Amino acid sequence: MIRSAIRLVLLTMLVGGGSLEAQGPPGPRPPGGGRPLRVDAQQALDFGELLGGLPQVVPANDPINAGRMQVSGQGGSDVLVSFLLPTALDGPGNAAVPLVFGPGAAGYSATQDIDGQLAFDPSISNVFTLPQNGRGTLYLGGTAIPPAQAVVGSYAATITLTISYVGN
Amino acid sequence: MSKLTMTVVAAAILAFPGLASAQASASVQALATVLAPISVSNLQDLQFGDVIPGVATTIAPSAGDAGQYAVSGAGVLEVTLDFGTLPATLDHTLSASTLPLSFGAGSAGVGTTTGVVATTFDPSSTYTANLSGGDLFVFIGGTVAPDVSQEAGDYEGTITMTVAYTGN
Repeated sequence: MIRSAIRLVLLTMLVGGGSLEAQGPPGPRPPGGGRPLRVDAQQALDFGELLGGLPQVVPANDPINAGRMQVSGQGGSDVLVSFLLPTALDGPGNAAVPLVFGPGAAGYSATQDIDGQLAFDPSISNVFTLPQNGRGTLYLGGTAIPPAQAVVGSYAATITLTISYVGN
Repeated sequence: MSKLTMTVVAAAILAFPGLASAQASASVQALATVLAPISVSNLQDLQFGDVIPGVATTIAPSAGDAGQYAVSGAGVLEVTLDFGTLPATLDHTLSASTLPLSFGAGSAGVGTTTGVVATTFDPSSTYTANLSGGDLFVFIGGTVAPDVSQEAGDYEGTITMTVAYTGN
């Protein structure tokens, strides 16, 4: 008798899948559906060799030296893009090379077309729509301004990109 | 009883697959290398030696008595050589007398080995050359034309050369 009762209850639970979700208050379904967001770093922003007193500009459409990151998520979703930008490259000792990111220093392409990118100011968060395949590319250039008496050596800094879904 | 509880918990977790990954971030590096600054030093003065009144004396840039500068910088970078306003006379060290001085189209030269002129140029115009292994040697000659009544004695002058990277 007992054995039969248990089997009946199990069957009911498996068929009524919807009622399982309703057992506790359901969490909001993330905008853009269930596909997780992802950012892949693909290329560093490389200013190359600098000479004291001579600013060096890397445009966002420089295929060799511009920074590049690929974002992926639910196709057709709007994503908020935010850069955390360094103010300088750090070098030997306390040496630093100031960096400037102008209004057109970044770009977004839904087709991985570096020359067809939509330019934007990386110091401001922007919203872009992912294409149907869910993949977009972000490009970043900038200007390095070495002081006239810049210390010789290697310099580096970290640029972080954060993306999140926004309500569609 | 225990078996029923485990089934319900597993089903509930599967019903909310999209809770994770509504935000993502990644970082790229910004990179640069500051090169050695450029410097120039005087290796040898331009020496006309003993000159005879009324007889012009010319020193070629390849001559042993030619003036010589040593330029030091980074790699094979391009630099400009600028003599500015060349002196038109040498000044008597003890009186107000002057000795006419002039420079022709081939009065200056460059080379990658000390004492060896590879190419001549006109020092009245800015000249562009490439460093070789971070080095470049610059030579300067000229012509003095003493008058037949030129006052005897020692004469001297200053020739200044400015070197700068072009960024190439």
